[in-house]
Amino acid sequence: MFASMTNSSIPSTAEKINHRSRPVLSVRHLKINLKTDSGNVAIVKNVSFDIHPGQTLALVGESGAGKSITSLAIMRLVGRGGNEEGAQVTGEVLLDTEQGPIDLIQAPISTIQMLRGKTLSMIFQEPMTSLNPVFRVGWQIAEAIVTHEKLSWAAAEARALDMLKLVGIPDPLARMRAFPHELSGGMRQRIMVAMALSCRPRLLIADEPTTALDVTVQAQVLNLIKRLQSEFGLGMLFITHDLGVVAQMADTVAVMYAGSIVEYAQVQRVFSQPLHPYTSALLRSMPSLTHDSAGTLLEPIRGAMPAMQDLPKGCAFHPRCDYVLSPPCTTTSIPLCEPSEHHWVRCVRSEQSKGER
Amino acid sequence: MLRLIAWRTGFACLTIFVVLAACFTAVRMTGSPVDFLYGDGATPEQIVELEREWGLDLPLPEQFVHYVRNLAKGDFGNSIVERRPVTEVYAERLAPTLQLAGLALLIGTVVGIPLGIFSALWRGNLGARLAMGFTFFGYAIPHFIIAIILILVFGYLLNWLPSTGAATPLHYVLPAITLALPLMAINARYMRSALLDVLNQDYVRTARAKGLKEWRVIGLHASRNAILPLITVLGLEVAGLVNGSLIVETVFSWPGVGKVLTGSVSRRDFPILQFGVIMYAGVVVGVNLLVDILYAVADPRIRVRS
Amino acid sequence: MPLEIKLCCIITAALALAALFAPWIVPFDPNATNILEKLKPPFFLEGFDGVHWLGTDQLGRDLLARCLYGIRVSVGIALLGLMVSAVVGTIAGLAAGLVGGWLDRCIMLVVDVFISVPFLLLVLVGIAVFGSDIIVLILLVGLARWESYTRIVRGQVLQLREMPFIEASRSLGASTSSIAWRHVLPNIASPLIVLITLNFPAILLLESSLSFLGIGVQPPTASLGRMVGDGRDYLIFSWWVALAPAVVIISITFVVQTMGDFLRDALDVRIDD
Repeated sequence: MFASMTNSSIPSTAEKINHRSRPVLSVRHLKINLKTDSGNVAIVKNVSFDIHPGQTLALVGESGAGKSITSLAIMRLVGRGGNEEGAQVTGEVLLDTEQGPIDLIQAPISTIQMLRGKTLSMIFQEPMTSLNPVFRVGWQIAEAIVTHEKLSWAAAEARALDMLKLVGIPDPLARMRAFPHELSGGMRQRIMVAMALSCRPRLLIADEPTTALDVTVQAQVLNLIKRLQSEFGLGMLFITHDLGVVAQMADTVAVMYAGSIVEYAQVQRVFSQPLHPYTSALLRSMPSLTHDSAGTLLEPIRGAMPAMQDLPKGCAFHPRCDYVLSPPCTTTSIPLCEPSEHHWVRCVRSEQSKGER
Repeated sequence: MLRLIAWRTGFACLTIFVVLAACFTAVRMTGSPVDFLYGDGATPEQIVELEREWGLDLPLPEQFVHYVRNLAKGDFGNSIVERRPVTEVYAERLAPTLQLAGLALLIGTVVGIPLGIFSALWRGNLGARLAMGFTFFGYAIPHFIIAIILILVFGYLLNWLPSTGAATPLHYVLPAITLALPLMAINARYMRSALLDVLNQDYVRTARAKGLKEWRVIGLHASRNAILPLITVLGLEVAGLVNGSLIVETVFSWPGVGKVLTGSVSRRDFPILQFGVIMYAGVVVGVNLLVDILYAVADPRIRVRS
Repeated sequence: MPLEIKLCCIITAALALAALFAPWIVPFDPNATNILEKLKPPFFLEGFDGVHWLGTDQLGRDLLARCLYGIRVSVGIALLGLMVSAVVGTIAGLAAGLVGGWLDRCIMLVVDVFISVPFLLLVLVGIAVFGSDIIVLILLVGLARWESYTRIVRGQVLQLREMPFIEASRSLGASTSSIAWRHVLPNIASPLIVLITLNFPAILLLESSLSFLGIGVQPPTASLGRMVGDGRDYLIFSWWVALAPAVVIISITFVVQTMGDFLRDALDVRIDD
């Protein structure tokens, strides 16, 4: 019975979710192998998703689930030293550019360099170390602009100044000449945002951009990103482990566990009707300020996510799952299916098992 | 930043002051300086006159002031052995020493730094690993032994290069390489480890994510940071050059100031010794000061702390 | 213990024993000159006379004997000098750390000044003033790198000062010196041992360089550095005269440096250079 389940094809249904034209980013069957001391390990097993213009996809999961490396692979920044040593990436990553869709996995590095910073940009988790300490911040932004657009340095600096104002840096003219160490974490992250958006990209990848910031600053930066996204019509891949941030920022959610997506749906559905036991467990382990259940205990998920070299047979989550059925949970690898419209789950226990494709 | 420069300059002056005091005390401990400076050549009346001029009847601190004042005037006395002004002796020998030291510094930098970069970027490369291993010897073996080995191999066995004096450009080769080998080793090692360190930093990843070409990422963003530890090491290298040149000039009979200085020790030619020590110390302290300033210019983070 | 370290220990032991038992290993007086026997080649070259295994030098002295006795002299001076600098540096570090205040600032200023000037220059002045006899050399060479001990010891003391058991001792009336003796010294033993081992090659090389220049150990006493210096003029035909002692010097420094690095990693000591 289970053998008849196949991997669903996401594109057509994704279109139905968003009611728009071509996605900015279309990832299909992304698989990443890394060379480690114990041989080749599959860090990311099979990831597919779409991101449409103006929409945010949140990639959620625990540390080690493979979220960051997925984003790095899209930017072709995996591997030792960021130049792809020791990493094998397969699959298809279509980026919609002015010249039409380009497969980032197959493209030569010169094409990628042309696209980075211009059509797709990334901001990282650690603002304290992500800016070059010996160059002024205004210069660093202007450098990004000059690399991709035919502007003089003076014009680029003028645009950099505009970007500083756009991201809400106080006293921007003076700050142009500041060095990164003279700025706070929140300001540095704003600079990163300014730099990433300076050439009006179509896609922004944000890898836990606020995790390292104070809570109050977090809120400011998140609001900033959301505002700019709608202003620019950016597609955004937002990586986080914080479900609160997901609720605030995301339109669609993809939950990752042990290198695979286990649930994928619109954000309201994921929060109100989580179909995968891992997702429900995640939600239960979060404190809720608005819930009536004041006084109920938080439920941590028992056990820990396994290392990618030591994945259990069958479903990767089954050792920690309350609904485990043996077989098939412990024996066969579970494919993604669509038990309810526009809602994919990698689980055989999801309530409505109809609609398998 | 200015505060930093002022502080460092003050410290440099203090150091020179201490060196002067040490020389002053050393010379005093061995007798009257007038005897040494003008010894045999002066008549008893002249000696009394000079003693008064030098203020030897005054208490020690005042003597020191006179001493410093004389030095400032450029009066370093006469060499006991050669019976002519010390400054003359040094002046005519300064050029070969500077040439040799400059050449060694150049070779050490031009060979060492690219070697370090190369071995950081192409880590598995056999040539790089061999070269780095080879630099270990430049680092671990003292100058005089390197010199002996080079003379033996290239001077006598192969008979390619001369090993005494400074007559032709070819004469410069062996001494310069002897001096340069430890520098090459240090530069290569520091550059390699600094670059490896920098290449793992987040800002290098950001530079790539901006779409910069790889040569710009490495050549500008990474190198500009990797060069910082090398600046600090530059001061050490110059100090090492001082040590090294004293030895190298002796081994190769190089007509420079180092040979003069080492010769003056056994001959107790104190005026020569004093000038040489102060000169070399002054150079090292001066270079260290420049290096500190250069570092503060290069690394904006330093300017905040003092 | 990895293989290289075992090898180093063996080599060190062999050299030490050879130096100690030199009179029984080689029947020659290292200072006995015999012009008729001068510049005889060693055993692996033609012309080997079957008696002088490493050949003879320009004055007919047996080279093997001179090397072994030379080890005694050079290593002896280096070891004694090492003790001098370790003691001076440690005391200065203890004083700076435990007394603190103006004494600390004073001592650290002296340290900074010392580091700024190439030590060789100061040694040259010292030798010019005091001469070249062995005691002077030991003291002068011994002052090399004293500041390295001072910094480490002071650092450790500053760390330990914050610890409760020091405060407890003080409140029980312990004096500064007894605290130094009983609490601080055991804690600084590891870094000191590593530092001593790592500084040894530098001091040995300093003495060798001085002797090489002719202002260190004076003839007829055999010193490895002096032998290399004297041999320089005979390199063209009798290269073993200079090379044998050079090889000995390199071996000793290399072996001790390796052991020092190993100790530093094994004892997990951090030495700020």
